[in-house]
Amino acid sequence: MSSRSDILARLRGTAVPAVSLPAYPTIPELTQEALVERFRANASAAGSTVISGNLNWSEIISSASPSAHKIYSDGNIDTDKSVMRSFSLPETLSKSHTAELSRTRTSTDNINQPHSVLLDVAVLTSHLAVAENGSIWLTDSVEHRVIPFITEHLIIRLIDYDLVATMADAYDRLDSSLAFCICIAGPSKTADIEQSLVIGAQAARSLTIVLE
Amino acid sequence: MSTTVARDIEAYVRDEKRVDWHDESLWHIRSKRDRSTHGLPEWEQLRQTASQIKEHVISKLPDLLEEFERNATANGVKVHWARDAQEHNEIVVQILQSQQIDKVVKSKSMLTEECKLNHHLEKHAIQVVDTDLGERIVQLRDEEPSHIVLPAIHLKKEEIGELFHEHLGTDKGAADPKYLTEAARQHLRTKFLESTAAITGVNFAIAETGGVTICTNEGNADLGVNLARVQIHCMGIEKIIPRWTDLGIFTRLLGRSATGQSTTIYTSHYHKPRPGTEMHIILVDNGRSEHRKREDFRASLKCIRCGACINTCPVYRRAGGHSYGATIPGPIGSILNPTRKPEDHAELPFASSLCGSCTDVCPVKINIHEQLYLLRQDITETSVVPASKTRSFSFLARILTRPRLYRMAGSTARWATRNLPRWAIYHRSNAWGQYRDLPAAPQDSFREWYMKNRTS
Repeated sequence: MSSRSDILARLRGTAVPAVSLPAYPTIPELTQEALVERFRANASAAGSTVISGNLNWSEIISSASPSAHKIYSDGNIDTDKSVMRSFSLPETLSKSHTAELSRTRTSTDNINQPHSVLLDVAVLTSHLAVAENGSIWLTDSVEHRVIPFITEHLIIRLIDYDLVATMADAYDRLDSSLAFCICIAGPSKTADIEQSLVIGAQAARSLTIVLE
Repeated sequence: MSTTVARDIEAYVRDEKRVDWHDESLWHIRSKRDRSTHGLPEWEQLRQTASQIKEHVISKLPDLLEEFERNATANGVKVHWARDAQEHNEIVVQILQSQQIDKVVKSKSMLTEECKLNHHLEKHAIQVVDTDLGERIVQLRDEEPSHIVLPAIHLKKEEIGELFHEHLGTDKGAADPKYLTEAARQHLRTKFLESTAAITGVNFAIAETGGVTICTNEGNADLGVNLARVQIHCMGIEKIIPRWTDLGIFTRLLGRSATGQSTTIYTSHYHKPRPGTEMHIILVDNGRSEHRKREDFRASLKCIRCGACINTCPVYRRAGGHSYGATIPGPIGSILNPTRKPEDHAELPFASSLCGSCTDVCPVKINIHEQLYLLRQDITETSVVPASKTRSFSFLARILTRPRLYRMAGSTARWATRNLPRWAIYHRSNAWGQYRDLPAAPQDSFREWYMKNRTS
């Protein structure tokens, strides 16, 4: 008997009384102003920076990372810095990328390596944000799934976006057939050493959210 | 029944300062959990809904697993089934060896701890690096995690500084958490980039869509998975949820219950592999189908591994995770481990005050303390209880069933605690008098006081 049929047979051999699926709780709706206020407060509490109003991209990028050389953007932004707009990271990485990591740590060479894995700043577009935890969602439109994690600093542009109250509302809106999607609620963090909060654990050291 | 747990706890509590520090660290997390849940008016409704969804899952488990497999396969995912830990480990090795992969990164997964996967990989000359910071710390120390969410909660920063000095070349004596975390970041990024395969645990697997959801604060699972050409997700069969929208209930409960965060920083959903890469999901039984047969303990399969019961437990807080000698420590572990391996863990249900705080905080409403009480009875009926316990219980039963004898024993005890010298009271056979003084005995028993004071 295969393990599959063995496990299923064992499970079917035990009669467990049926329990029906419950209805979801209904949550009182909030006004748009209240949602925006909550979103800002919760994003800041999680360590994100929220920006709106007149946007100067050179300044936004510099304040995320003053020495940013390798910058990637999934859309057009007006800046005096050179920005990659297509990203040709190979699906499979080779040993050479490891060598590159040790080089970039010591080198201040400017960006002339379009295949580079290691970005200083990535600017990505999101269309969905959640007020209760200050999070934003990215879907498979991200050119390579690793970008929001491997970049040192992450900037998210919220464009034509829905701001919903809770995670439940977000899942309602999202297409469940997406190959990949991610909810990001702040910069990478850890408190694994004596419960001291440290921002910038493994993935992006900072998260800037730009409301457009 | 051995008494290893009691011995380990006794060794642990000798360092009173450390015990107090551990106790406070965990209580701090419990308090954060309270603050974040009290701010949510629908909290109790969420718990109730989650509990019922999970009960549904347990009742429909075989159907949901088949639905999950069908949808995952249609997404281009290879689904594997493993009866036990051994088979799970062999599947992982077989996937890696078929691709000539000898380096793999792994994010936090209690299932792979349960299966002792790391040892198995190392035996097959495959280098495995745990990438969650806390997990990496305990891996470098060659220890087990002492907590399911906070693997290195038992360690002081100075000890971690010493460890990193030895393994990662940080400055001698440096113990600043920020500095140490940065050193780990640089070290782990090299590992991410040189690994062609990544293993993760699974928080939720969605039957309706055939995808898996993984929650981390560090982003380490996603760095691993999205740089690798082979991604392997290992899960116990009880991690299934029926619908995509059920995540709207569970993600609201998990982070708040675990650390008091409104959500984990990263909540990732993987349905299909990237073009040109492989995605595997391993469904592991390892005692769960047997556990599901036991009606009294079935509800503990609802557990979503948030750790709330551990943080609140007065025994765990003062005994430390390693004292439990089990993969999952604390209240829920004291059900899960002995239910599956009673020969190794029969003591655990007794290492509890049955105060019920675990049940109060459980986000999926598992009746943890009631199950612990039932499990004690079950174990007492089926295994040998130490003579010291049976003798003292039968002695106690004789006194408690004879009111006059009971009153006499009470007044003798009160007289004795007031008048006998310390050495006669605080000796080895008085377990209650170790580490604490007995309270001052009153002149009267409650009965005598009541007789004097009652008004009618």
